Amino acid sequence: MKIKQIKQELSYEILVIPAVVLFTIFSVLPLLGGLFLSFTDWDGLSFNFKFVGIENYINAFTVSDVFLISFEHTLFIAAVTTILFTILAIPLAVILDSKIPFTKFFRAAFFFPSVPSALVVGYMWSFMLSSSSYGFVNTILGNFGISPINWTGDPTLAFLSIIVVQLWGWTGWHAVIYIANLQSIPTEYYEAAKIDGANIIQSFKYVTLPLLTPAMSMSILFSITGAMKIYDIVYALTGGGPGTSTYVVVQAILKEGINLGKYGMANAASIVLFLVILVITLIQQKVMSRREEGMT
Amino acid sequence: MKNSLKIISSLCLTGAILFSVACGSQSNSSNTTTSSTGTQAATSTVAVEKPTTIRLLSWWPQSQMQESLDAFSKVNPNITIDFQFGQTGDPYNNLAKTQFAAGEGPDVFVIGSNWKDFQKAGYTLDIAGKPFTSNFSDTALKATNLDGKQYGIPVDSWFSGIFINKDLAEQAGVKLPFNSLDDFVAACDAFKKIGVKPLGVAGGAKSQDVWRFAYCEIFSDLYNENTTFDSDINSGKTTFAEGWTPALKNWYTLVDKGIYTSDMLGMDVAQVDAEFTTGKVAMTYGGNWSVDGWKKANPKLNITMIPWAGVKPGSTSLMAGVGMSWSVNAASKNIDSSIKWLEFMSTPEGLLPLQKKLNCGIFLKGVKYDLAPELNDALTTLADGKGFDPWAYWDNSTAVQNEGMLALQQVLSGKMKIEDVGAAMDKANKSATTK
Repeated sequence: MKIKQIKQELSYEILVIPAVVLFTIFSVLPLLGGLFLSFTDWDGLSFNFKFVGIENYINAFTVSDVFLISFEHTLFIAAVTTILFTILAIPLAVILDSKIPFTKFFRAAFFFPSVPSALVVGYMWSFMLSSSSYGFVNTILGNFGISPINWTGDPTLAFLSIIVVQLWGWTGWHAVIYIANLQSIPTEYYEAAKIDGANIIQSFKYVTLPLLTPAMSMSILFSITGAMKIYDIVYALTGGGPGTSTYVVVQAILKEGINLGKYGMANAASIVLFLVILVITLIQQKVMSRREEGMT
Repeated sequence: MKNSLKIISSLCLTGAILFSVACGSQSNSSNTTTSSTGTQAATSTVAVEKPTTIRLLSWWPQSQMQESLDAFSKVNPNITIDFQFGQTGDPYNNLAKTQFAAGEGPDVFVIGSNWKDFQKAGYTLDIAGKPFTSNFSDTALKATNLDGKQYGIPVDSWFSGIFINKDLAEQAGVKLPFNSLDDFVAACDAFKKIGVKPLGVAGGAKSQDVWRFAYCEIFSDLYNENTTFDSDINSGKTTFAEGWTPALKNWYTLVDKGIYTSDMLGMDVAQVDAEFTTGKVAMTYGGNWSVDGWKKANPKLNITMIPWAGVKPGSTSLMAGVGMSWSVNAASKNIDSSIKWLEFMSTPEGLLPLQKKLNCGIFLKGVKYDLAPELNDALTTLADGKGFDPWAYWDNSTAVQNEGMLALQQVLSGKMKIEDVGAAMDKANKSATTK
């Protein structure tokens, strides 16, 4: 009986092999390669390199403050965008799931900004937020008598611009996750709440919100991992500037690694980034799975 | 000894730029005459019979290279070129280095001031002794020569300074060229009075032009008189904090006077170009390569390039240097065909179409060419040897230059004091040395 069960299990697991092989080749092996190189002084061009132990890990956070600053910035973007995605995407999903006219059009309109490349979105907003005479946003504000604002040239506003553009680009995408979850909530729950005298807000608070926990887990996971790896939108919008005021980790890795020829140090920072993402994701999964268990 | 070599090589390169521009300025005073004297030796040394494809990595876009590519195909029908473009600066360097690191380097590629990175890694083929190299001036060849080995052929010399809208200057009563920094400040005031933004600078992190005129001030105040500063930096005899700070403080007076403003940090080159070509801005930074694009955007644009003028009257300067060189990947499987490209780009047929597009100087012996008339006002300064590109001689050029750009952006955004810029560059220099 047991042998039959094992055979049956194996027949399923064989189907996983192609995915495992591809994941190993394109994710696990490069990660191991990066781990190996993080203990060397490889300059990215010459293949004459030597082992330097944990020197790169120490130097990455002591010789220059670029990595520390960029980790701070990245964590800040990850925290703020994750909170705001959750706050904005859930009500948006509820509205787009309700019986308003042109629902399909609005769903497509809100989802669309996530379709073009982040670089295209970044450059487009860079032009729109430019402090030049042709900056679109400042021209509009000028019509209302508001002085031009240095959106991407002021360190604080540059950060704000990145966050706003991220929200513009991805809130609709996160809303789609919530819409899928909303459509799986049985209408009987709302009917029961109504019979018990719950109003719309109470229904949302005591029925919708708790039952959206699985979608919230997914949305938060994607938001955190995406924000920790953010690069293209920052590169196109602010270039990390002014100075290093909007530098993010991936940008620092590319700059220090490829541009300045410190591949070993850049790999060390990449491994640290991987571990940070891993720890945050594990904590998030643990917390969210407890919430999900609490639902049942 | 090392310092002496650097001084000699610096002088040689200055000579090379003068040589190339001298050819250009000669032809400006007469009709264009293209002489191929001295270039006919570039006949094929290796026959390429079998059809091959070579991959060519350039930091000039295909639109600028197309005429040369077409002419090459006519002469070498068996060789197909797979053209790849990487934006000058970090994008190009990142692309080239990534390709080489992956073992997928191009057959022929462009090298600039950081060429020794590729040479040290063994990626540049020694072409010393190839007949076509003798078509170029010896001083220009020295830009990519190390220990008697030749790793590339020079393509262009570049120079850059202040471009000014002459119509607006006339309207504002601004006299050109400037003789001192005070003249520049007075011109800015005059432009403001007629309601025109005086200076457009693409100071955003993507363009990083914020440093260019700051460096020009340093050239005018320091390099015009101190010819050993860069070698002294490399040998540790001096520091940026010590040498550059007084000139940087002079530049910073422009920030105090509201000529350099923090909103420049929110602009990139395309946005500043749009303002300049439509007359919203009177002056901007540009080089010999800028004219073609600006004139296409606005054919009626009446502009001229003038040098930067420092605090001391008459202390003018420009940024100038040997631009790119073509090099063959030593690991290429198509070395014969790749050399054919270099051989072709050593002839007027190969090089002059690109020269016309870039308005640059070239180093082919006995070949005359035109420069855009908008560049004429800058040529005297260049002929006086006041064109500088010190980063080409720094041992840790990329790291130091990168830090300088970041620091000046931070100064303009109020996050750093001007007095601390030199120290930040010294720290980057030390850090790169002890890597």
